[in-house]
Amino acid sequence: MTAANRGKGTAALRAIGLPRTLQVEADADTRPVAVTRAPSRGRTGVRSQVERVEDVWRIAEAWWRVGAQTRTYYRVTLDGGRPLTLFRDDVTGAWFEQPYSAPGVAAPR
Amino acid sequence: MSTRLLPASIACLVIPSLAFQCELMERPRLLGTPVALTNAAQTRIVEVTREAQVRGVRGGMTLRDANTLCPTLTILTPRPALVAQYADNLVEAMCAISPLVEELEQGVVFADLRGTEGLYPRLDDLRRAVFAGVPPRLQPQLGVAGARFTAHAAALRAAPREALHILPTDAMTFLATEAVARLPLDLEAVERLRLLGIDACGAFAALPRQAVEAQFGFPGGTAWLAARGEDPRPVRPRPWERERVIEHVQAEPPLVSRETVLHAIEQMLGRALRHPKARHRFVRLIRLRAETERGALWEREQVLREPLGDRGRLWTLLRSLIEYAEFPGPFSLVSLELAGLTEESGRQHSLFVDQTRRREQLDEMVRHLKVRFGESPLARVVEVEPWHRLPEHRRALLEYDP
Repeated sequence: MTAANRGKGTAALRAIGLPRTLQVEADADTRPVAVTRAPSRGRTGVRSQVERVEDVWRIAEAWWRVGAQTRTYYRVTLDGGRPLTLFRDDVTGAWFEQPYSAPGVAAPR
Repeated sequence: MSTRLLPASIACLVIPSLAFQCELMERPRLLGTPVALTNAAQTRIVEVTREAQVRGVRGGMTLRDANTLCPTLTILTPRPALVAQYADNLVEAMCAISPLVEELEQGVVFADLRGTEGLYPRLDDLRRAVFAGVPPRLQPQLGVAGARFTAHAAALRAAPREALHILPTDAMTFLATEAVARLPLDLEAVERLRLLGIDACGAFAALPRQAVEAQFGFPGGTAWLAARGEDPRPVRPRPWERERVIEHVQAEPPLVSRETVLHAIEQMLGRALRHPKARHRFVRLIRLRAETERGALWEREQVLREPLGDRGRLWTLLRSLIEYAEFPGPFSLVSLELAGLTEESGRQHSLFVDQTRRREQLDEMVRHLKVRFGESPLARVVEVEPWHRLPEHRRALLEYDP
């Protein structure tokens, strides 16, 4: 997907909707309790408390293959009422934010 | 022979062996030395200077034979782009004396002199006016007569840098010794005439016209009239030839990178559009010619779907012509021709004119930005695997490339 064939006579594809890294403080059950978004576009990283977790779901993509991606998604509401979708990479333990929608449905902002 | 020109005359400017003369013009140091020009395949000699001729070098020889006979011989190869440039200058020189100009081939240009008698009442006036636009070292020859075939024959027989005027009353006598191969007949007809023992125009013109037409049809009749000095074929000016502007750049050292070629062409476009002929006019054809140091020719031609007068749009088009072109080597000569200059845009409006215009503008803008930034700043969202559970696999951006 990310490998773009640039050059004469070839079309260049660039992936969109890529996950962005996120600093997350989690509890003992690995549920997020606070998030700090990575600074970007002149915006400084701001720490926000997670008020409540709205939804949790797990995606194990091609679990039968080596290098399979397994993620646990959380749809949360931050302090101030702002919604956020984030996931934990169950293989590496890293946290990312990424808008998510069911396949075939436009992603919410 | 007369020095006073008659009305309804035709002038013919001839540069015998133009390719050779061009090469000699470009290399003045070769003056007075044995020099030969090869054919395009560089296998045989086609032209030689007098100095080479004295040493036994002749046209048709192989290069090895010529070198054996004359070890000091300088052998040149023809450069089509250079010849085209000089040929264009000859057309321009004739355009200075008449609006009706026809280029028969490179180095042979006709001009219809009707209406110019007041400007050039005598042959010398005409000669001066024509030769003012032709470098003397090209050895131009000018012929003037009442018919084009006679004018052509007169030009070929005129001394270098001289003009020859043939009166209609003298034309038949003048042409009597002219070879029939020069008549406007196909090779087969000329061969048949030779087999019949008719080699010269005098013998051909002595045949009854009906007999000639019975054997060779309508072209035979035209050739018969031409042989009598009554060639009915007029000078046929083509608008392409008059309505054009040509700019050249000779590069020393040669242009190696694409960027320098682009820069040279951009400069030429500016100069061409500032030319009085092109000002406030629209262009219908763009032709780019370039020649490498080794004489390889590169050419691109683009007929425009709609005439363009805007520099930006023309530049966008030119860039697209050379952006991905494969060059045969570093260019030593580049020329840009804007042809088919017209007063009107002559645009055929689309039924969906607004959308079409917007799309054209967008495409041009994207091309400009792509050239500037190296990639298109616009992209289209395309679905890749819309069923995928990981969002980043579902859609992608595809570069918008008009």
